[in-house]
Amino acid sequence: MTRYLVRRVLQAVVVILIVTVIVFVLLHALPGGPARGVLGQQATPEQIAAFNAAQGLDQPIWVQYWHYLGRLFSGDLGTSYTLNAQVSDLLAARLPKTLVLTLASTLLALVIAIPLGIRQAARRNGAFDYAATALAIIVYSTPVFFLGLLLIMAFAQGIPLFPAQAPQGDSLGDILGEPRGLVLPVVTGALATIAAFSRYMRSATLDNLAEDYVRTARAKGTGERAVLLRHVTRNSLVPVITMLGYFVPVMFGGSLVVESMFNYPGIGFLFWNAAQTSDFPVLLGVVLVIAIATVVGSLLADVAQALVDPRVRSVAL
Amino acid sequence: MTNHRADEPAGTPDEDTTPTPPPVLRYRSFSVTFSTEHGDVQAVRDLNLDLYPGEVLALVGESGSGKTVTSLAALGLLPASARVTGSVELNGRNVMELRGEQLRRLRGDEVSMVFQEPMTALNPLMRVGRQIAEVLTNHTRLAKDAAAARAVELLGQVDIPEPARRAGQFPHELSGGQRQRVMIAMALACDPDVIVADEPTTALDVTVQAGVLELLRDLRREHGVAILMVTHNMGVVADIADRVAVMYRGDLVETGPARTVLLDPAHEYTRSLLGAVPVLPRLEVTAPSSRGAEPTADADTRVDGDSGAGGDTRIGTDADVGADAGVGTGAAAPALELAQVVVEFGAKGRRFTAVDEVSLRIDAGEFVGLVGESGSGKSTIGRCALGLVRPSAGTVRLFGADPASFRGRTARAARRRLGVILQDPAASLDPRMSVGDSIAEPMVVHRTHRRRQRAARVAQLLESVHLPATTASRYPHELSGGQRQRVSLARALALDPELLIADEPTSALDVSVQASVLAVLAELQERYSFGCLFISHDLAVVDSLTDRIAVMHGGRIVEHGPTRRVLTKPQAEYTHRLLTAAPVPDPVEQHDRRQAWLAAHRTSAA
Amino acid sequence: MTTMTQVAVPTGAEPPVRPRRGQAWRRFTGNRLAVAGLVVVALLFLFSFVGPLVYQTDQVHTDLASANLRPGTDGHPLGTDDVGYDVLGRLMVGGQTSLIIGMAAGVLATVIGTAWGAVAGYVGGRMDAVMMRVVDAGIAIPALFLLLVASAIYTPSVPMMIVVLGLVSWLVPARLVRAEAMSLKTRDYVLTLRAIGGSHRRAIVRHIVPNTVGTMMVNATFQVADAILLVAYVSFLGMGVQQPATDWGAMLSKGVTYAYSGAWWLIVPAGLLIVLVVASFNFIGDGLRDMFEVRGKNR
Repeated sequence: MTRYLVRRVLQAVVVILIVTVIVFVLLHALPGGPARGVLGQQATPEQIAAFNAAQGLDQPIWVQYWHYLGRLFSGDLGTSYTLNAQVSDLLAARLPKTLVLTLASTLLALVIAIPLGIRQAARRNGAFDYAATALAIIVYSTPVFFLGLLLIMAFAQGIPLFPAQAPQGDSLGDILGEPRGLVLPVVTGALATIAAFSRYMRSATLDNLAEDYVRTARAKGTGERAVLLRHVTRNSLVPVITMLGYFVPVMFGGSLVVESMFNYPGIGFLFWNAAQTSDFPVLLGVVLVIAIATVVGSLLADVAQALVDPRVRSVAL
Repeated sequence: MTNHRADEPAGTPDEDTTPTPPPVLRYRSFSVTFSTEHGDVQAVRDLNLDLYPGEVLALVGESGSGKTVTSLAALGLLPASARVTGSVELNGRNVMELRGEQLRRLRGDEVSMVFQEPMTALNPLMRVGRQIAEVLTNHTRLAKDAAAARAVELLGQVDIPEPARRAGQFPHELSGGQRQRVMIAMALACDPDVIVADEPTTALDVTVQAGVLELLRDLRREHGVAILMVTHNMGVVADIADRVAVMYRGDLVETGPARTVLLDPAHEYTRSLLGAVPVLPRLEVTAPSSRGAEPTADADTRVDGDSGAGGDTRIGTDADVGADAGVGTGAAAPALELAQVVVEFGAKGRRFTAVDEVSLRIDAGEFVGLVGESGSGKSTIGRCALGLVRPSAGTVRLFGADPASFRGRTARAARRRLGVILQDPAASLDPRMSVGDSIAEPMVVHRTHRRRQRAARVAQLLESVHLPATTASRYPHELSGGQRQRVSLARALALDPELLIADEPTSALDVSVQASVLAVLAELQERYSFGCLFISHDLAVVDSLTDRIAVMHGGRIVEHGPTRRVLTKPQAEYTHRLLTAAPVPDPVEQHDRRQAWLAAHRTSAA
Repeated sequence: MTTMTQVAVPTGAEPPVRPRRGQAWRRFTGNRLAVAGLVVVALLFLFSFVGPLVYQTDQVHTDLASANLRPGTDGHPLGTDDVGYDVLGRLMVGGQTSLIIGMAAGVLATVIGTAWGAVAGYVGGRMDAVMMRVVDAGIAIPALFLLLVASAIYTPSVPMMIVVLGLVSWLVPARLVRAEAMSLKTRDYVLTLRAIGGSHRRAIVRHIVPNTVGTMMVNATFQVADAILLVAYVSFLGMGVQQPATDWGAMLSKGVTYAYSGAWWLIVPAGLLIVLVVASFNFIGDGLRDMFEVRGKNR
């Protein structure tokens, strides 16, 4: 296990390093280079030259990358020039809020999607399966913002059950204190995910139902219900763990749209505002943090899978 | 008519060959039809068959004969797409009419099943002890811990060492033979009247197969359970069956006592099937080698130590075998020469040695067999010879060049003199390439023929493997397994190779198809006299073709010599064990082999 | 051996491993949703590219005098938007953008992904490790975020969107093709080719890539669906192609403010068209998967 863990962690570190290279390249792809990124669009050429000299931007590119890495390690992601704050401070305040939102959406989606997918697979090609499949593809094909708009029009304007605006508190406590305001953002985020997860679960269950061991279980007189629950469901849930790892970036993408729609004060909303104002330090800071979160997420998924699946576990040992 | 047997079956074992009690399982006018994309396919036609208490009935046939469908029906396990007429009565009740809960109660309790592939037949994520206990909790009121304890007992009954520890393991932690024993323990758990075993030993090596068959024989004797054994292997039939039923394309063509059917078959199909089975020569040594305690190590040093004079004198004991001349002269450059080859796989810390100091030499025109069970390293040797695996130590020379260096001009020239056939007929040809393009590929790679010449050559090659020239425009999925391997052979011969390397080219084929492919190979070898390294797990197949064989075990060559001599008077203990474990279709001789195996088995266990 | 030849050896009687062409197509048409998807996509292409020739509207000059007209008024079947563009005509123009970007980006992503994945999977070893870490890193950054950064740096235009989308969405096909290449390279026909001296190039070009066609086509269809969705997201977030050019996502984005006050025609038709086209491509992908019997990509 430790050998596998060490190898997998090293892999993750390499991936994060490559991510920093990508972000570094983006930083240099900015019109006027990082100087403009830091000083803003109104900076004069003289200011930029002075900044470049001061920051060592006239040095070879790999030296600059080295310095950039050094700054990252000390937690320095630069300063937002519109919000007048350290990017790292902004992220530290916003990230927990985004995590709360995505976790709630993901949990809701799993709770609905897993039984749905199993049921569809158990009665494959029945009326229920066809209806659920068609619906899932349609929901999956619907832009999250369109779903959100429809929900707002129905449940915030049509029947005013929930507010159309997410809670605006500064602290996590303030936000959790207004659960009604969280309903529409969480549901919006969950809908598309339910569609994707149920399709995945259906397919994983069908794959397992076709396995020989299912026939063995029937041959020994195990009832259909027990075959489905004791054998098939358990085994089908294993690949779902990996899928969750792969899904982390998709969930962040979704939170970007959901947060912008509902003015939810997470990093997605921060990112969107920064995009409108070309606040590059914030944009690149968010990209870096999300990429790291994704890498850590799939690392955790792989480790969890290794713990759950004895086959992987014994190879990893 | 069978109503009087509806009460609790006694299951009295009947050692006598003439069973008097009514059958436990009877098929009456049983037919199965599947509707497929290609229209209706009748898998079984009007079958009438009885299985009596305590007997072993072998249901024999090649693929597509309907034998598996017939066996699955006994448990009501036919797929939903099957349309059934007629009846399958188990203790007087028609299984085809049972539904849901009734069927569930029957399965695993009155009739149980052992499947072919024990790796996939077991749930990979459940401990084996629990999988066995599940049968008990399905059918008895046993509490969980009692069922678990009983599962450990059952593992002991099927001769799995350390049953308590094994019960806590997952299927992938057991060996293939142990997994099949777990399946048998499961089948046995509720003391059924009938065990249906669908090719239970096909996925196993012969030495493991012998043990599993012995176990089934013991269980039948101790528990009096009737066994319906589906198999394609006539040797297995000779070994274990009391009676035989032969199926061909959905029809039952012959039934009778095993001895009669095997020695004096009535139906033409049975005769041709038996005729196609490659047969081992009669074993002349009945006891393991008496030359000292460690014949294995003895053989090792002699073979591996040198490829020169020392080895020759030993191999040269049978003077009339042509191979000797080839090995003896050593003047002409050998087609293939491996010297002290070692192959290790895996990363640091978890390295294992697949091939351990193997030396082997094939001269021009020589037909050499390389035999061993799975994991013996025989395929790795093949891959080394093909340059697909680079040895960790030692040298490989193919026509004097190192095949592992793809770039060199000499290596390329050497490859041009090489033909290759690999195992899997499903993967030997690119499904997206026409047969003609596949056969022409060597000519394209080596730029030997112009386009028009290629077409002519392809037609000629197809003819030489007895396929019509029109086959060239077809795609692999339109061909049968046997046809595909003939196409592979045609491709291998495209450039008139001096050496053919064949890795289990017929192991996935039915015996009759195998016989025809091997006949073509023998015929072509006669005509073109190419040398051949023929890798196989089947001693009998190798016997009919090769001049010389090398037997591999645990990465080493344990015995090496003229084919006839090795197969009739094996010197290494392992070769003897392998030979006695391989069942032959003659029930009388098989009985002797079985006794020899038991004797060897006892001494090795002691 | 003479008795053997009398056996009716079942030559060619075994069921085919892969469907013949006609059967494959029949399997596709057996999936009714897939056929419906194909028809809908064809109709949407006609609507977007042929439609403007039949139904001519001014989609360049604004006309504030006739802004926010309800559907049906003054020969505007679907009304007008906040600056007076005819909504039906605008849907046609917007459809061009969505479809062109979606198709082109899908094809670009598939081509890059196949090449990258085939090489990584076939070569294996360190090369594969390095190539796949790059893919991991790319996947770690959600495409939408990169698109917005790109849009903040450069002015968004159709070619720029195609290139950026292509560059961010080749990662998933690369992973799929790599997995397939890894299994294909151990097939006997590839080993045989290598053993008789065939080049790596020939192995990849003649054997690996042709055998990933099924996976690629299925995935390409899903890629088009994803690309159209992503374009819509970027536009909805106000960072897409700029006026007077538009796409369905941008129309929705602009309509939101008015939609809350009842101007449903500004968002519902555009939203439905997005759903329709994306769902159609997804249905087609499903049908192709049946046709090629591709397993693995679950969605």
